[in-house]
Amino acid sequence: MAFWIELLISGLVAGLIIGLSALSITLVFGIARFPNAATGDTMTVGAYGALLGHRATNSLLVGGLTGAAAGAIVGFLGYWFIFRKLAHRSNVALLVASIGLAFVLRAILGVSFGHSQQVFQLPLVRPWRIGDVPVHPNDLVLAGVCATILAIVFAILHLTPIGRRMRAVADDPGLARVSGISPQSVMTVLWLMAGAVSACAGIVAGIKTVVSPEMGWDLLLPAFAAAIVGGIGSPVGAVVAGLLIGVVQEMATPFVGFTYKIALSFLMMLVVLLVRPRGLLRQAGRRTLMEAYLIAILIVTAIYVLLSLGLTLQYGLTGLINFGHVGFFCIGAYAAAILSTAGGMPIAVGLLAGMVLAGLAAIPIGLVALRLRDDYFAIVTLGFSETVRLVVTSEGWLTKGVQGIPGIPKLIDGVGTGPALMILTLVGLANIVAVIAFLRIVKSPFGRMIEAIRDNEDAVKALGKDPARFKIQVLVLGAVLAGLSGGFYAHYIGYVSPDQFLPIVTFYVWMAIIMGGGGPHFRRARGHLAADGLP
Amino acid sequence: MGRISGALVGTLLLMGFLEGSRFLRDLLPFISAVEMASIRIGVVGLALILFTIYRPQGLMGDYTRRK
Repeated sequence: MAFWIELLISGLVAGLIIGLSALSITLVFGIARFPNAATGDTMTVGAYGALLGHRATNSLLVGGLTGAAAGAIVGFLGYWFIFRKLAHRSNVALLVASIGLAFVLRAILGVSFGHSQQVFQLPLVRPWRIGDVPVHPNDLVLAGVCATILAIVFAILHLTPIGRRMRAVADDPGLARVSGISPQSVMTVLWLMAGAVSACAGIVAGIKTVVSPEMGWDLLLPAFAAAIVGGIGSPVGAVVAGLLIGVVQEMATPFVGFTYKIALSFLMMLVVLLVRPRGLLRQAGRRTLMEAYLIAILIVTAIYVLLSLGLTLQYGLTGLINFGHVGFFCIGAYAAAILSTAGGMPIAVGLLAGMVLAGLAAIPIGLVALRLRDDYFAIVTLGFSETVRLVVTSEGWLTKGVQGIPGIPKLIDGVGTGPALMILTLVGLANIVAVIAFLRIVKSPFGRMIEAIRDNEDAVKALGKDPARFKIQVLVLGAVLAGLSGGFYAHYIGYVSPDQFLPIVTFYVWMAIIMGGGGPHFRRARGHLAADGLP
Repeated sequence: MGRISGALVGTLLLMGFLEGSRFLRDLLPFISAVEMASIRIGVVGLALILFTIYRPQGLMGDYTRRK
């Protein structure tokens, strides 16, 4: 029994962290009307800020204040330089920009502080004992701190004039504006507050565990889940849902294992809602080196092109925001890897299996897409790809977990330029076939239909067609391409491991289609070589 | 947006960036490989932000426009 109470307490503390970050998310969502993916990395900023403050003065209070201030500043700067400029754009634009901000923050922290984990040097205290249950005084202090922060936030929202204005903007932005409420002051206070709150969540998390540049991003999904479960825009809901999710995650750990508890929050949310290029080949002579390098580049490019084609089909033509593309890539890669090593099957079988499995995985995602607004869908796809990675990491009996699967046979055996050229031809042929198929789709009635869905889905429905079917087909097609790409990748690199399939790969592909968007010309290898010289 | 050339050109640019960052390390040897990973993430983030703000043609939010 004491065991369960311990889990409950640890769940409540985790829930406070999730609840605070969910509060920040729901505040921003309610007033600025978009899901702020930079919340996680603002938490990390808070944690590092507190670390510095604590190290300098040995006072946790000062550390806390420094961290909160750092978060508030980051929140405000994000608003001033980025979100303010996107005020009239769709919430997807804001979401994407917030992801960009999240990456930038993480990069800055990574370069400034390094990637090793750091801890708060706190004096060790023996836990108290209430009955049979150990209670750590630190947890009580942290809980007290969180409660105070919550009280302050609610006080501001409900007892001050600016809070009233914020709630007015949340309820009805048009009416608020017409009533003379200036958005700038409301937004400024909002972002300062949201930044400080997420920073506090990060500080608590940092004290409870460790501080590292990735910590915030890892906590982002449960925070989103809590905000959604609690009802978007409801601060009380966010906190309560955060506590709930925290407790459920901890209490479920004995049943589902440590790695999956994060997937649990993704599941709860769902229930509530519905690629590293190879190094230089070592060969004598500079000319062969250059050749080999070029061929390697082209092969990897061809692999990425398949990914981009799939995403272009989904987003460019149909308007679906898929942030989980790397998930399909991962499925394809691992299917090919497992079947060709442990399974002993020929390469073609592995590639085919990868395509089929990725396509099948896209079907439930597609069904979910039907019910969700585009930014919610984006978050769900992100959760999907992370879940795929979690599964791959923990089902070691199948995937060898973190160690990865080495020794995947090459597409064409042998070292040197000859086999490399053959591999390039093979992947290149796949590219050409995919491109031709893509062009034919674009010109076909199917292609017109999906572009119509992108441009005006309601009109499509009014004409009596059901967009759902097409969306699912497009997702499956894109996923199949990604699965094939993954299979090629596995057979080319010869080794797969979970950290090759982080979300950043999805965003590499997004960056590619964003940069490439528009223009009626084809560029070929010449243009590629020119681009290769870019620093 | 949605043109096939988009996917091709964009991928080529992406590859240029990813490979180019490798050469950047040769020019600036004081950056370690780990730091370069961070920098890459930072540049992708910056690209996402800048493109969303300054080059929306056919992108985020404006995809109802005809291509």
